[in-house]
Amino acid sequence: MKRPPIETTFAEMKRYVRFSAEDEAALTSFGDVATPHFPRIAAEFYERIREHEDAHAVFTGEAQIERLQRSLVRWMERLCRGPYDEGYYDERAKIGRVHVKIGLPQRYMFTAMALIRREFDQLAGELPAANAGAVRDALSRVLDLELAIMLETYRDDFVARIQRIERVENERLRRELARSEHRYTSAVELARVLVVGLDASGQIALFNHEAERVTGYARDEAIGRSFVALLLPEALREDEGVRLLKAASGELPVEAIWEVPLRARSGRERMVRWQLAYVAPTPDESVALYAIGQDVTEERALQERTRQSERLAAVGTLAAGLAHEIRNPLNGALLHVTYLERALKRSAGSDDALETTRFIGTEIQRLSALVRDFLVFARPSPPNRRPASLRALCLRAVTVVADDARQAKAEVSTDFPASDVVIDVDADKIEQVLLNLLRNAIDAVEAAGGGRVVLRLRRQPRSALIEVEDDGPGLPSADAPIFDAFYSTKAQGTGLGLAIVHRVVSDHGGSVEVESHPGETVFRVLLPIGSGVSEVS
Amino acid sequence: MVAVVNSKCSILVVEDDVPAGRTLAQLLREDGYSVEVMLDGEAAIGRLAQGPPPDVLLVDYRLPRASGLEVVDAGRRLHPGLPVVMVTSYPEVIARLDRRAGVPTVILSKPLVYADLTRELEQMGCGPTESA
Repeated sequence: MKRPPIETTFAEMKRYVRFSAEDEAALTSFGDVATPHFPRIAAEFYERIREHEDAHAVFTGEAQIERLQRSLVRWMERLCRGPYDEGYYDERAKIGRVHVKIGLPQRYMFTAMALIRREFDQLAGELPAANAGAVRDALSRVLDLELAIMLETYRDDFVARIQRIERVENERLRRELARSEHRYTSAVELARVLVVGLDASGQIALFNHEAERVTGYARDEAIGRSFVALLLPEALREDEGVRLLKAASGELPVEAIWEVPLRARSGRERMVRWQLAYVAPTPDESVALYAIGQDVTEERALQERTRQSERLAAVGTLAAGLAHEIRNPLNGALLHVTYLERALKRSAGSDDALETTRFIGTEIQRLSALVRDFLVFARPSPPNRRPASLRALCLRAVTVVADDARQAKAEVSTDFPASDVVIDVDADKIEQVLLNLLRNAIDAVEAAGGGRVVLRLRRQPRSALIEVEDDGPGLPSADAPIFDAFYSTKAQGTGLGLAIVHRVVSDHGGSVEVESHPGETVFRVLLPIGSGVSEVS
Repeated sequence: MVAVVNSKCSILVVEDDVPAGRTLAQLLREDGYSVEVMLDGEAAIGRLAQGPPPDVLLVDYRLPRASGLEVVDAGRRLHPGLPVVMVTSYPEVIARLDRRAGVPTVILSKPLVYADLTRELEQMGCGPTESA
């Protein structure tokens, strides 16, 4: 509904009040009569203003008032003479804007204009009656035009002010929003909890820094992917995964606490305890399920270790008592088998019979080893630490296993640093660790018909590193619970060797890990140097 | 097997498990040792107090009437420097004694591997053939 662009505001106003050429002529004739009265009218105009405090307040002094009176005279002259063109409009609008600028309240324009209207009306009354009606009509129209122009200037000012206010307000809101957003972002990003948002279809829509850290996936890799497909271990997708999807789509009520392992990018699993919250998605926000999670892997592992220790302590007490009851009969049995073997040899008994007695002897010794290992494992004593040369311990261990190594066709070599590493350890226990690792490595290469075993020692800034490397076939699987008690891949194993290694190293506040491929298996033991604060109290 | 005639190395075996003690004695004798067997701690202490000292005391840790450690103490008191082999089901416990006086010279864990015993005896200078 646009007006034709040709018609200006002023033209439109004139059309509205039906301002015509007759009006212009009438005003010219009025001007001829009225002009001598203009200085008087201007003086009265300002006298009246002086009576009103708010109006008078805008003036700065008498000189200004005199200037204004002269302007008003010119204003009245032009009112009568025209021309009533765009220049007229601009001039009037400029005066109006001065009023706006000096802060003259709007109401005074109307009251002041009433004064001028009355004066002009009286002057018109002095004209010949034939003219007076047309002049009064013309004056009425032109004064309304004046008011309209002045109002228009105030309108512009209002719009400008409102726009300015809006601009300031918007800026304030924008800043507030930015600040609030920044706070929330910081809270979500800095928190040591995983914050993940899923949309109704189970796709990741929010993925904070901790989620990145725990899973190993960057945000841009995770956003838009299915949570279940990306992060849940395969075995859990059917069951837990489907339930999660139903929770996201609102089909099922959410469980408040949900503990589930996540498969990180590395393939490792991290146990995460989630708190879930469902919000019905809106057109503006796609996230339907907020999941706030905590990595409880270490916590769970610690709990598991504690539980295991408690179980073992109970078992250990029992085992110690039982050990005696087992070892005594074994002792008699072994001596008798030894005697039997000798008697068979002496009487030139059959090879089969000799072989059988040897087999019994081996089995008795194996049972004995199981009792010994189990006691070490189940009845751990706190490490009795003294400064010890790791180099000497390593050399001793290599000597002890030398016979086994020869039989297994294992070539055991050492790789030591130029200077010795001396740290506070329980030498007997660390020797046990070395022996267990070396024997495992020797067994591993024996299975392959012989091979190489390297015992390596290194000093690191905060720890001593001991590596036992072999070129045997490697571990059967990366997930094999090799450090668990009674896990064994060897027919003759007690399944306690690595469990003891793990326990002793943990008791020393150290760590043990393994890296294994066919042809290269490395066990790495890290023992802290220094006061050696133990993990286990 | 080597048959040895002269100046056999003498061993006092203190073992309350009769069949085990008998078999052990038999093995040792066949290997040329001179062996006496005592069945409890008190009897062993009595024997140590009376007759000539054995070259080696081979004693069980756990014995009726007097413990293996009491036998060792008595033996060492009567015969300072007496070599002792202690056989035990509790090597872990005995190992903790090592800073005490009267420690056995050698501790062997049950079940006793006979070859280990004879190796230890030889290292103590108590070989079946060499004693003079």
